[in-house]
Amino acid sequence: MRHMDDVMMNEQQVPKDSKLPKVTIMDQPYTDKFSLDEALKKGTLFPNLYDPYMVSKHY
Amino acid sequence: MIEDNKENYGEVNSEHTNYEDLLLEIQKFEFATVDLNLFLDTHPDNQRALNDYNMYTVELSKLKKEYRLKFGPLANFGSAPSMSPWQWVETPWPWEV
Repeated sequence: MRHMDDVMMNEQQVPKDSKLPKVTIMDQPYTDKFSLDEALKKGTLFPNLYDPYMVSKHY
Repeated sequence: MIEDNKENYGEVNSEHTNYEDLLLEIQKFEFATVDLNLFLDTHPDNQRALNDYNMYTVELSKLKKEYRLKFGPLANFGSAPSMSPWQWVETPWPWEV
């Protein structure tokens, strides 16, 4: 397995003004729900999480 | 269609005479409860989500009981005592459903 030191740039390679990465995620609001029938087909109970790559004709 | 915000947990028929219908209904409620489980893990104080989780769980328990009484155990071990002879082998295999 590759050691962390092998994949990280050493300090000389990193530009001086670089910052550590930060991740920000939105809090999921509890709003409406799909019917249970639809939720099982769509793979989520929550409409605000339903974001398929391609919209299926079937559902 | 998206449900409104009222406590509406879908079409819960009290009687599912058909094996596949009842199993599908159980799958719907299990899916809804596990999705609420995931939401509640990060939002443990959300009372509406908790209410929904509890309602669905009560319905799921009823459906599982109905299934056991009509068709035998839902899982191969640990879910219910078995009558004699051993009931598990009497139920269809997953690929037979």
